[in-house]
Amino acid sequence: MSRMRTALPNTAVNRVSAALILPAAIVMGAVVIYPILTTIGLSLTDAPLISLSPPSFAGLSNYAEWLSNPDFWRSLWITLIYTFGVTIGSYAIGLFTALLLNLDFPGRAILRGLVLLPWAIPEVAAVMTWNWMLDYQFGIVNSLLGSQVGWVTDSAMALWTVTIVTIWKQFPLATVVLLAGLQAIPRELYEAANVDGASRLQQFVHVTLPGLKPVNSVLVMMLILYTFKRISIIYLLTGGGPAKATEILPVITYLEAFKYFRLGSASAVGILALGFTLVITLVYSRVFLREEA
Amino acid sequence: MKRMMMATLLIALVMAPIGVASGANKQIQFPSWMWGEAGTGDWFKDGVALYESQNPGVKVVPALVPAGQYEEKLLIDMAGGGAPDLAPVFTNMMPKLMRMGLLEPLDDYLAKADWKSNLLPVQKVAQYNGKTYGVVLTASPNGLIYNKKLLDKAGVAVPTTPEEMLVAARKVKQATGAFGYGFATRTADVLEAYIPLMQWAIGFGGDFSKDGVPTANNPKTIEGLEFLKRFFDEGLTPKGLDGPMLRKMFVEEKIAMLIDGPWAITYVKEAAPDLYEYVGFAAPPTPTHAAITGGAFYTIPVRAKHKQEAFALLSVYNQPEWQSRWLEDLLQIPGQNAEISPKLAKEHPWIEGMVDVAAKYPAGFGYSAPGFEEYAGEVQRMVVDGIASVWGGRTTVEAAMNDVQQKMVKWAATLKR
Repeated sequence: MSRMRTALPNTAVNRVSAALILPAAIVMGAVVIYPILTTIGLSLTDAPLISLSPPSFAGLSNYAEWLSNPDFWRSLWITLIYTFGVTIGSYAIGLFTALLLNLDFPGRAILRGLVLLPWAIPEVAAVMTWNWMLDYQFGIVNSLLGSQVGWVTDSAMALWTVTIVTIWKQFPLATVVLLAGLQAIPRELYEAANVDGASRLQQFVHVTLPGLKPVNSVLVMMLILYTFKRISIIYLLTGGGPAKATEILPVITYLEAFKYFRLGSASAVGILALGFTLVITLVYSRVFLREEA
Repeated sequence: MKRMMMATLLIALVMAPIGVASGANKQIQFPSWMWGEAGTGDWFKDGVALYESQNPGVKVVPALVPAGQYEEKLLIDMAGGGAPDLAPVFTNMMPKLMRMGLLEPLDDYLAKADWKSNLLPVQKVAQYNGKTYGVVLTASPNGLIYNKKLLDKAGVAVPTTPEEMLVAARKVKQATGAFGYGFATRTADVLEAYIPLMQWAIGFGGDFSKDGVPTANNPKTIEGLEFLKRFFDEGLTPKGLDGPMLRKMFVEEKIAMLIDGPWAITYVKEAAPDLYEYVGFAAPPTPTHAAITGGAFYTIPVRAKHKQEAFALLSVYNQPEWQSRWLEDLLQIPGQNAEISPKLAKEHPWIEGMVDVAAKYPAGFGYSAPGFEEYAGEVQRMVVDGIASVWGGRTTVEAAMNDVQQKMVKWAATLKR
């Protein structure tokens, strides 16, 4: 690029730059911007999923209905518990396994492959297997624990269960990213800490954690966003139940659109969920990324 | 020039089959969840073969869509502007599709059909604003499906009342270790979890609504559900399972009784032929004996391209020999009144029980609460959400149904009907 700058005037460079990003911009416009705008448009109508007549304009009534509906706020609360539970759990287990896999020991390569397995297994197959393992009557989990727990059928347990299953599915992502972060920390820092007589814990706190900051900011954001929009694990395990105990916002959106066929109403929930995601992202960026900068 | 001629020839060769395919054939798009089903799929395929032999130049294009996704996929296809030519739909889909104006009125076609007068009374489900939008395909009732071997081992007769059923379930558990009665309690599958609730509610003379007015806390509804809960509380049913798993356990003789449709017996016939002769079908042993009736209708979407041809195809399936075959080969009630031959009754004794139930106690078409047929999914979810707390041991049936009633009343007030 620097060679190009010397050869071309600024306006030409700008044109080349614009031409290079144009394909990506078109794709982004088609698959991100257009659907969002369409969804916003639909959320202002009473559109059913299917109708031979055009939908009528409903203004902000879909939003007003949802914002005054206690089920929506309950669902948002459940979504936040699920999102932060999964994010914290995935990060903690990911960090632990990354630290373990960063050590030099025989069989490390095999273990690295094994840790990635939950991430690699197709989600539906994995969830169906969990469903059997957690079965109240015949599941291996109750059998091993000698317990009679309705892991997915008891409303007090279901949210914890889906959180744990999602952590199991998602922690390898954290492991991979954190392992890359750990390997980027210069060995010399640990050697210097050793010379200064720092303990293992002190090295972890003063060398490892600060060294992981660059990857942390991206990883945590990814974990939050992946979890906030994640529907398949909950839908397959509990369908949002029992008694709405695991009904996160994406489940409501899905039910409204594809079970009750209210596209306008579903779009409004989807846009509200998008709004909350943006708020979380902005707050996170302000607090953590600025601190890092 | 030579190169030009070669290129033209090549293009002509490539395009020729496309031209033949699109020019000579009318294609009847016919999606169904039944194409892949043993027996049923063959029945439909044989009908297609006959139709195609009688109508050269018309080709039927079957598309297998899994039953669980059928409603969604059909509606999404229609929402996208597409429409098949012939679409079987579940009973509960009929009110919605008719109100949305998505179906072709079939009165003019039916006027010329000599088999019209023989259709089952459930045909009325396909009528809206004085017009007919569907032709009943099948309407089979749920009934008490029992394993005679297990009942004999427990020394009990086929129950005819709720109390007898409870006693029978207890004795089966005691004598054989098998569960007495299996019903779905896995609430993640809302429809499967709703069916037994509806069965026991209507079985005691209640329901979750009447003429579009919520009645979830009607004393009879509560009484029915409380009776059902006794099986749950006493460990007489496996907990947390859905319908397909219960059928599998029935086949494996781990459950003695189900309240299910004849498809469960067809499954026994295929999966455990040795057990088949010991399986019986009787009226649900509830005070009213009301039997949820599962069914399907043939419909022709209003946007279908080949409506005449589609009706001609469904007419093939409505000929007397095809209707008899549906009963005799598939062991289910066809869309028209069909006689049971002595041979059939001898080979499959339970069939008479099913036909008897279908004639005397049909109810609950489309798994929907009366007056809320169009919103069946929402009512099912409210009821199942309510009962989930009961299965979780967190509330009583009465408190749960009072809560469901409140929610239904509030929700019904928002409907634009």
